[in-house]
Amino acid sequence: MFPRPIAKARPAVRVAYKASLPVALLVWLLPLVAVALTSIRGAGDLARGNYWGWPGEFDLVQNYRAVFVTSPIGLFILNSFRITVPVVAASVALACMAGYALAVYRFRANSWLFFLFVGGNFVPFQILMVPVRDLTLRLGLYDTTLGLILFHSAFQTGFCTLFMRNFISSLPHELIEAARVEGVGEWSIFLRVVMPLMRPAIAALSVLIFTFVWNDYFWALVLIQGNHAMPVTAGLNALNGEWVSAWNLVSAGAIVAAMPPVAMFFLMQKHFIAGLTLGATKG
Amino acid sequence: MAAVSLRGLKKNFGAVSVIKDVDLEIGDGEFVVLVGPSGCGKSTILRMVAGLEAISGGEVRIGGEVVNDMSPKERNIAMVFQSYALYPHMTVRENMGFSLRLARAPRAEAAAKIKRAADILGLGELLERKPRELSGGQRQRVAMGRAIVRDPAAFLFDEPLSNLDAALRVQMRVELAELHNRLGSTMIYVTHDQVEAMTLAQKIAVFNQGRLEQFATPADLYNRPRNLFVARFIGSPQMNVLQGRVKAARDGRVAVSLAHGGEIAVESGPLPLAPGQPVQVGIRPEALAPADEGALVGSVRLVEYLGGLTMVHVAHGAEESFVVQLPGDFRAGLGDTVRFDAAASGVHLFDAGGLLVAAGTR
Repeated sequence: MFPRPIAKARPAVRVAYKASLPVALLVWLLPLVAVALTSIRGAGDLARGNYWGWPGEFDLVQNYRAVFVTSPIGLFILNSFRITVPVVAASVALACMAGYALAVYRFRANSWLFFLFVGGNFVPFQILMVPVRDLTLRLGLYDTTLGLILFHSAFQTGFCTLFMRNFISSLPHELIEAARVEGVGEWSIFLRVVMPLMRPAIAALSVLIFTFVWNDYFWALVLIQGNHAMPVTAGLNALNGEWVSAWNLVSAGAIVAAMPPVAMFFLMQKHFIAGLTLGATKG
Repeated sequence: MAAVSLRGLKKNFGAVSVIKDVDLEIGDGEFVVLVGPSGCGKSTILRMVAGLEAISGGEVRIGGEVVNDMSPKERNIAMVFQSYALYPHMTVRENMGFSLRLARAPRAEAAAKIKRAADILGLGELLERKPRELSGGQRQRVAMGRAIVRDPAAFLFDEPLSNLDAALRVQMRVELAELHNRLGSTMIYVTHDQVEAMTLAQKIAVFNQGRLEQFATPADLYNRPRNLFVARFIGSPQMNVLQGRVKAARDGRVAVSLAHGGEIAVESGPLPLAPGQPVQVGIRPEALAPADEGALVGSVRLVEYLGGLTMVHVAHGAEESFVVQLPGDFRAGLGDTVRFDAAASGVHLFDAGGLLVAAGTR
């Protein structure tokens, strides 16, 4: 069996493993701990350069209230939702249908089309910056949430389709054939036979795309200028004063901004079920 | 219910021809088994009847109507798959009623059909269960129930029992035969198991490499196989084949001298057999009996004791060997010399090309 269970390794290896695991964990979590700690510091700590030590004062409530009072973070979060939710819905829905077509139907250009979807993921998005900005300007979508929604949907659908196509390919093909022979139409097969079995994939992909899009900073910066459409990631900058860097407020804002993807994960968690197709076939 | 007929049916995958000009007439209400070794094209034919595989040439008729260009949906057939293919997220009741619900069948009518199918198959207790909570045999029954509720023109079975264990397979085989008696529907059944074919079928179509070798009743296939392939495929254990030459042919009796010693007589009608002509002698293991003066001599190579029966493998000359089916109390040691006689009625002669030239009829 590979990898070999750690319990069967030599004692020295086991000790080294057990010792290094907490260290790795700490290194991994350190940035998060720092942000969380900074978010409750007072401005004095930062002025004194006390970034890592014990906080001089605990300004938990003040900081978090300031985030909401001194910046339109409520609007930013709303904008983030207005961008992220449609993108998740559109790209997952499109990917389900495109993935079904690519996985189930045999047609001439099938594999080329599939490669196109896969290949799109290898395009570094930075080189799209200027053309996409020009395109949105000409379409009159520059500085609107719709522009950002359309771009993210288009960009994420490629990866989503790759994911969905492979998931549907792994479902037993006889299920689809059985339904066809039973006289079930293609739409009904997709909606009533295949979709219910795709629940874990849809949940996983939704969480993933939600997090991707929610955490996007680059495109918000490129395509959005005004507060009216600014998502929370790019909007956090507004918490820094014109002359003073209020890192404690930025940190508090970052914590607030990070909550929805975490909530999304726990909401979707119950749909991550293995073995949904159990019993369909001999197995 | 409807007759199914295949005329000049062909299937090509690219340049490879997998079904070569198959003609088959399946009568209304008949139980026909398509049998052959794996890769012979029997499943492909079934899938072409179902509409899951495009037809490259020829035509398929169901109830007299050419269905070549119809989708599976329009053909009104039901198919049971080897892997059951149950909808895993639906209960047994929902699985069976799925097509009725989508076809907007009246609710009471659908419920009655599901109840009838469940009664026939003994699924009454299991209607609210999900497929993962069922055993293999129960799942296969649900798959059949799903077919029954639709009152299809024909039932298609694609190796439905292959995934079941031996005991369950025998039980389901009996249930399938009873199901056919009860419903009287046209059934086309694909299997590679000749025992299943013999026990279930009214008529068997034997396929080899995309060609229909013979289409006949089980008894005809056993007694008058058209060629060596069919002769070997039907019957268990396999028919023994020994090389020989015609010694004399006269008055409906042929005497053949075997390549490795011994002489065998075959009863037949008047046949164009000339002395000296090479022939292949087919002898069923069950047609041989020990005899002190027996013409077939050999030494025992292996004894398989099956309880009621004993299979004795006998080396005959340097290259040939044959199997004899004997009563369970037969005893022989390895290397013993044994002699057998073949009942003249149980010996078949095939020419050098494998075609039947003389069948020993009973």
